[in-house]
Amino acid sequence: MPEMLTMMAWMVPLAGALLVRVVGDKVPPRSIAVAAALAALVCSLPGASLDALSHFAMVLYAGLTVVVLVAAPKKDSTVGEQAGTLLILAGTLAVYATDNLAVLVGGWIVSMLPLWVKPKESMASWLVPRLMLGVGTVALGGAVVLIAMEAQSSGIADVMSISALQGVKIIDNPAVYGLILLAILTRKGVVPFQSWLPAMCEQGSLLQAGLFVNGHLGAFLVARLVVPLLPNLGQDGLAPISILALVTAAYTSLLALTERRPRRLVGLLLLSQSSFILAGVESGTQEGFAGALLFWLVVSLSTTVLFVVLRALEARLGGWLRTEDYLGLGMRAPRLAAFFVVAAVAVVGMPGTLGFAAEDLLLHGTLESHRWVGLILPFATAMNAFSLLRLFARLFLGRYERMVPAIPDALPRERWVLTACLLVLVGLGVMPQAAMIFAQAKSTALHAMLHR
Amino acid sequence: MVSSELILGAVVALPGLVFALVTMLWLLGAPLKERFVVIVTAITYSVAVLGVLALFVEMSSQGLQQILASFGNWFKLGAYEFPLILKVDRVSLPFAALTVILTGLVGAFSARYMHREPGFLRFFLLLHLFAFGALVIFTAGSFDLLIAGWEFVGLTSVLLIAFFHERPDPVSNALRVFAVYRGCDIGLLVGVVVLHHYHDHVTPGAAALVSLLFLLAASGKSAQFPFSGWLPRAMEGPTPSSAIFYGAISVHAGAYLMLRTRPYLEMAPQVAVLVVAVGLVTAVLATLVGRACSDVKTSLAYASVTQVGVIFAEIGMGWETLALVHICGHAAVRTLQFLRAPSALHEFHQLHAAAGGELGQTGSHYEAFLPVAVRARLYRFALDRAHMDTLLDRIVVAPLVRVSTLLNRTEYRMEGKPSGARVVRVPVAGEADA
Repeated sequence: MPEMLTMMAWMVPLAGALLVRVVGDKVPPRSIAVAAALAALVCSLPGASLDALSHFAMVLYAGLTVVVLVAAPKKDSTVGEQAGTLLILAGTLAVYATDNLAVLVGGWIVSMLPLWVKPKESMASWLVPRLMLGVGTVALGGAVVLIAMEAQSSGIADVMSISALQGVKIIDNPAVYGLILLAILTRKGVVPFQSWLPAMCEQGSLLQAGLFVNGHLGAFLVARLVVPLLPNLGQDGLAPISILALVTAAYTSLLALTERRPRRLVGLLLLSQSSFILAGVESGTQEGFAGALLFWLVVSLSTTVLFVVLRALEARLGGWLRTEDYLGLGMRAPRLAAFFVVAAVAVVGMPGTLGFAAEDLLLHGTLESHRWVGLILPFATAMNAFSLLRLFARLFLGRYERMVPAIPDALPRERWVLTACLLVLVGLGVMPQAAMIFAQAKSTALHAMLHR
Repeated sequence: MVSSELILGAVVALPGLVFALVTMLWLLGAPLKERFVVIVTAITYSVAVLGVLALFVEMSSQGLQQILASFGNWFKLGAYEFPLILKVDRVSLPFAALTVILTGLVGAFSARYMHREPGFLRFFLLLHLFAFGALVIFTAGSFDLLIAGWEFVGLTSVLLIAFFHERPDPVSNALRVFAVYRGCDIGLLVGVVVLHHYHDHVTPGAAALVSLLFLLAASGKSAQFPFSGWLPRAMEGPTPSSAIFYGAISVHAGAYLMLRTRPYLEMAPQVAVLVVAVGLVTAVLATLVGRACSDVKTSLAYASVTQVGVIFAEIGMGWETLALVHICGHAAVRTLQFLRAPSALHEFHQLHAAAGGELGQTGSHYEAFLPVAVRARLYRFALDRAHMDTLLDRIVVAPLVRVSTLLNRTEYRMEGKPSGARVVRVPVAGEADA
């Protein structure tokens, strides 16, 4: 039964995507999509057959998808968009839930499909995302083939089972590590593979791009494949991932400083802040794991709110925004402005939000293994905080009301889901111990899982 | 009998609770009248003043050096704990007293000054949040907790500078101030990380590093050299907030941090010398700039920084008690001057009339000793506010922007083309009709 529920968690959205395609012109596609995402959330909640990391990731991801589907503007509620979002959900949940390497690769590909096959604006600008994500997928496929071949030559019956391979210590092939590393770096947008995300945010569906990245499958792969299957690597072998992640955090925050296109800017900030998750997962300490989990939660929730607000403004104004000038939209949409600013301060770790506790934990957890985190995290978050406040100021301030076109403020459906996100961020920020109890349970289990 | 620990906790928590409650009422749509907000503010700070008074009586009657209030851990994970410990001693009690007394006074003043202002409620909410942050700074039992208060004070300061947010100037000035704050706050964050790394075994080298980093943070918050350039920009906010932030509390928060850094400064005398140098350079430059300012608020702000510079020098020399007395006196006087600033012209006219039109010239005492050519050069130097903004722009901002622009261009090139997106220019309402 628990296995069945877990499988249903990713099968239902898959079926939902098909259903939207088939009957989307008769039944509102948003209704089908929200129902499927809610069903996935419900199926993920018990998590009896899941390990700590998968359970956390599945519940969070299904929840995020519900938020995105409910809050998406009408323009983004077409059959294609809703089916695509469900495919991303199904593929990502499959990667989280499965113990089978083949399903993992399958989920990895399915989660990418909606973004891969949508060259809406121009082929040239889609070349970078396609190329980088394609390289990562081929690398992951190659690594899985090599793992299977090595397992078969060692006489293991189920060559595709991650749990059967874990602890056997048969995989000592540097090519496997190299290929998995490539998959992680490309999917996570780690330098030098960072360019695809801003490009995708700018040209494609903003909400889908945000959702896709907030799966954090690169970080997940470190915990799911690298640490358990390649134990001979040790801390030194994992260090390049962290170092590159920290370089990414600094690099993308520097890029964001002069970026004037809001879509690209939020994409860069998402990349920058989420890079620290990798450092936490790889730190090997319980505080580091817990910090990474909480940071994962904070970055996912906050950036989803930022993406939703930005998309809502675009839908109201009828096109992509530029911020060379002050737009003063807060005079007409004060609630959207409030959602934006609270999410912004949360993602850069201001006190009173969960971001503060998450950053504190991450800093202490990674202090011994990565002293550079102690330096780069404050620098990167300082620059990101400035870029976000600049974006907020440009979008929402600086004009008299009579000079701002009349646009509707947050609609009830937007209000409800965004308020829920902020309640989590602020509520747990004021009383972080509740989050710590959860993080401790998950990180202890994760620590034990990765070091058994 | 209420314990002093509980009183201390209540004094710190009260403004935070009021902020949270009033915000919640507003979000729920309750009609919050100005009178209600004013009464709540008056009660809050009256109670807080009584609480601080009780703490003072307790400490002096019992001969206590300090009162510690532990409220367990804010959060705890495995062996790692974030303790929620508040502390008042002879350094923090005067600061806490200044905060609650002056915030209460500024609140009472603002009841009329901000009357019928569209952002009346927002102003008071930010005032409460600021008071909460300042009290957390001054009573924090650990540097980790101090960071939380430090960030609150910074954020409320920036939001109040951008109070009149319909105009672009206050907003862009607030952004500039935020950039300086966040840049300098890196010193505090990294300093605390270094302290955690060394635990209880701080070496002289580590002490020097921590002191340097804290000096960076303190200089940013207290507008010391070379960060004084943000101060005139901060005058965009309402006058009462200028009084409490840049005349009284926020501008002295850096000095408080330096007072708390004294144990490390004693281990690293070379940094103590640097603290003195920063303070004195700031004092000289600020008094020079202040003399060339043509508006009363900016003159007062530079006068304020001049005194804080002297206070930094006193702290660097180890004269803690003198520094404390100086801070208390300066904060009180400067708040009064800021609050009277809007009626300065009116008062001058009154004085002028009372003196029968015979009011003597003032403000040209020291300059008279200098040669005319030097005076002219100094005047130009002062008009550009001692080139401090220019210096920061050239040394920090311009290289960062250049690197960022270069990297962005490279990224765009990699993607093949600058942009294919449909870009919308948000029109000024009514523009289309015209």
